[in-house]
Amino acid sequence: MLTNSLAEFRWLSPLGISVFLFLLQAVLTIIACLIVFAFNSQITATANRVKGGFMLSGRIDALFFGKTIEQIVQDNPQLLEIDRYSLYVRAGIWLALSIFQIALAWFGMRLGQTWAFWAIILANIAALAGWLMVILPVVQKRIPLGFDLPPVVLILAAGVLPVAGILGWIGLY
Amino acid sequence: MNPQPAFEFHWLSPLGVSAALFLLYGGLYIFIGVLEPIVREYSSAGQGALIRGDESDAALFGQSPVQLLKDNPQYALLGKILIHWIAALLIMVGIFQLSIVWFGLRQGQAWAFWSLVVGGVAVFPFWFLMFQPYARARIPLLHWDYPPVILIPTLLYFPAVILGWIGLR
Repeated sequence: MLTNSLAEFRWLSPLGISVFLFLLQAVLTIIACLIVFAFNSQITATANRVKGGFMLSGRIDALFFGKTIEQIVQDNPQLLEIDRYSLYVRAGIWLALSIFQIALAWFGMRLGQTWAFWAIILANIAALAGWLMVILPVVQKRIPLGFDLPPVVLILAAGVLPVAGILGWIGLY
Repeated sequence: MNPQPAFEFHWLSPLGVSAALFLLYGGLYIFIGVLEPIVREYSSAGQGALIRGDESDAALFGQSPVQLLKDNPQYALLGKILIHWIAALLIMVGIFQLSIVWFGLRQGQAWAFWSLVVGGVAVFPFWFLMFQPYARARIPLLHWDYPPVILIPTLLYFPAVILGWIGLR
């Protein structure tokens, strides 16, 4: 296990930028969770689901199910209620894992601990694999993906992982 | 912050038992995360509940979850897809938890203990909000039909925190 002293850590180094990106990703996810905590009933209202969808985005979900979001809500009367409760499950888990990621980046990676780096990488790969499982049925139906994918929890995570991963690897080895 | 060479860790100490409970908690997340999509795909187990348990969900939504999924075909499909995502999040939390316990708490690092405490407690307000409609519908909260992924970590959390705190004092 490679251990640098805290004094050797520089934010403007590959390791520093990597730590910063992982911290940023976790902080933005925490903000998203707090927004869910405070505004879940508004987020899961039909008007917002028309734009944001239930899975990926309103456009993609409507194409996937072959009907508009309003129609899906009308045909599935309990959907909004179950959606609201299950969003609490997801947000609760997100919040916990973001706190853990901050702890690992701050107390582990910043000190040059390779185990903390690999824990963050492995866990984020697992999360992206989960997203792939969500996206796969959409791709199988040949629905074009766009920039209307969930911004913080997917686009940011998918963008941060390779960049922060490579920089962290350069910085640590 | 660096591992303290003088620190001696014993599994049969308060800190050791706390670490074991937190490891079990993280391991359970990974186990359920890996197993859940497979079970949902290839078996009928676990199909009878939506949020809490079969009976409580039936009491809240006015019909059995199985019937509800039949009446809400798009939700049934959506739920099946989203469960993969939730499973991945569980694996992610599990990996974080195991690494923090193994490399931090076992070395007597206070930051590891407090991260586990804060990360563990962070989910409770969400569980509280999620189960509020059940309380409003007068469905007994002590009817133990909570999903294992919520019930077991909740039961392990408090002894793990108390023992960890005693062990690190």
